[in-house]
Amino acid sequence: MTGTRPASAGLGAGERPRLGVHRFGGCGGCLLGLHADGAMAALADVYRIVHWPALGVTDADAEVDVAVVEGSVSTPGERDRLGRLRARAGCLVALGLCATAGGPQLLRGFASDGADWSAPIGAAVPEPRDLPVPVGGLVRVDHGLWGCPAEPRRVVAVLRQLAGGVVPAAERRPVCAQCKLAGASCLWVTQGVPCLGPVTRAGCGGLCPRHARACYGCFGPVEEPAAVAFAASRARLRAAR
Amino acid sequence: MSGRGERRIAIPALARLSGRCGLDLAIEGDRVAALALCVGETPRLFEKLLEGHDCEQVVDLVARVCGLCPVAHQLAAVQAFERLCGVEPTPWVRAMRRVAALGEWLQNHALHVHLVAAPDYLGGGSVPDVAARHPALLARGLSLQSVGAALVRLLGGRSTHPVALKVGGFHHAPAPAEVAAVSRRVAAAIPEAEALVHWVGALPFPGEQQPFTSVALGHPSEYAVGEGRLQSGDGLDIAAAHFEEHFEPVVVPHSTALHWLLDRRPYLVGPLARLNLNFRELPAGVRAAMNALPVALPSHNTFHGLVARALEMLLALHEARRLLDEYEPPVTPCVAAAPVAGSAVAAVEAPRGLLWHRYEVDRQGHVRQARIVTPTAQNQARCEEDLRVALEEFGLDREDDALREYAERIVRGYDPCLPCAAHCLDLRVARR
Repeated sequence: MTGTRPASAGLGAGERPRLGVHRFGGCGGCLLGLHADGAMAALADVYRIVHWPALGVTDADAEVDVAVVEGSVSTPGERDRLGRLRARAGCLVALGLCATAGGPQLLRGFASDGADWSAPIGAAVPEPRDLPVPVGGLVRVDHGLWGCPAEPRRVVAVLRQLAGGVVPAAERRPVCAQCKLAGASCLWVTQGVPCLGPVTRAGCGGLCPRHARACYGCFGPVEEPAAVAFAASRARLRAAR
Repeated sequence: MSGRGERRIAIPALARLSGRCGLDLAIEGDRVAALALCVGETPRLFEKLLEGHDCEQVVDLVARVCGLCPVAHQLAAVQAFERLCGVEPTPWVRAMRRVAALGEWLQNHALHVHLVAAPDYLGGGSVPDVAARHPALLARGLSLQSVGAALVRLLGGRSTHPVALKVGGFHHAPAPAEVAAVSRRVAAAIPEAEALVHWVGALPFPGEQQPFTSVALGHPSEYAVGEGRLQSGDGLDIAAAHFEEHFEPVVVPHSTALHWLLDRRPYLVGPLARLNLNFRELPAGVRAAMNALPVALPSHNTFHGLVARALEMLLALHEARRLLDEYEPPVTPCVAAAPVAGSAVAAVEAPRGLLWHRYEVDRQGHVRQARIVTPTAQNQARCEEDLRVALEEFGLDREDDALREYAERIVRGYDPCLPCAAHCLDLRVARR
């Protein structure tokens, strides 16, 4: 199987595609966005929900057309669970920064005192010896929804597109593009404040600059960041101070 | 059943909870022989992740402990750092933080009441089943939730992992027109919340009164949310800085969440504990709704946590309306704070109860050590104690399914936030 298969492939007329929602290690904030503000109704409208534990619907091993996966994966048990759900899903959507990139828990990989991290914490407690892995590091992901949290309206829109057999377009713009569209004044240009907007994937609508602070990159890097130009601009800014 | 008068019931995954949690129960005759609430969330070792980051980075990072209560975690962090720096937030900042925190309570309580608890009182089944049978009730609940989210968004920029809170205040103050628009939604929601309080008050609550100690922040002139002294129903009254002298964690092998004890005993935090200790501070509009309820306070039936949540939703709306109606844009939304070395401590009331943060900060303003004590970890021991007593009262000779359902209902009543509880597992303590 290669590429994105439309979720509705193989469905009879009038039959709604099946949706499974799965949680792994993370804060739960991306899924929270799907419980709220009409999102749940918008999904129940186009899908038959077959697994979503927070709503009391549980059938983890059901075949689904679309599986939504939130969180990063750390333990052998979680790896097995991810493999099983991938095998039963027509299309897998990685939801949020933990699933697409690993999330803040990946910061553990930058720690210098590795020994201290894997100290035994009790017999039955899973020892988080291995670094968490984003979902795409273990199985094929058909669509990644970046962001910490992923933007709920975009999540619902993408899931509804998949239900209708449409392949959603990936977001390739940096935050700067959305700042311009929102009419936000550029902190870097007007105040000399370093900002991660030029190298961060769009999706927030220029949220931080619109709230008078620099972007801190919570939607992850753009696919092809202009890293050299960004570093040079940052160096010029530092020299000017 | 297995053996004579001995049986085991395992619930590998309790449904309708924010995270993974199971329950193992061993019964001998009419006694619970062993009971273990197993939090199976993978620890993310968050306290360790915070080390080496400066205070402002910690404010953004610590939100990610919990997608349900990021404002509470951020408020605890900013207030801890402000106290360390000797910075006093302005009255405007205090008021707007109260609105943001109460918005988060409203959002969380609305989701708990309608998605977690309501199905247990409405004939069971999943949330979509209940929504099909009671569409107006669910719609009202989600509409109240969206008002809570709008309050957080107004001040934080977005409702999950807000971006506008910082040490010293806010990055940005909302424009009066935005405030007025949200304030109108708040005013329109008050009758809805009153109707909800009425509906919740008439529910047939199971359970009995059990002796337990309530712990919450207390404030002399308001229903404590973001600031106050740590108080208990047994007369404890201390500053947040002395938390570790009275409360201690216990590592249990069956759970990735620590169990916290007060003077070696379980205790309750959360909406019911708050209401038990602070109901005299409720504003008049909420007191009137409370007095009309058939539930006497203080209550030691933990199922009354649902009543407490409904009343706190009404409280959130009344307080938000009062504070937003007085809104004037500030001269500056924040005051400058220069980092100082030392120990930074703060406690706040998260939606699910007392949340305590301590940071050791070095001279460069970097966090060297962090400790986060979440409400769910504090309620673990109480929840196990409750299950033991309540199941024996319920009758252990009942069918497995009946016991399972009742146990699930008890656990859901605590509204455990399992990401929070597991992510704050502390390795240093575990080594002892």
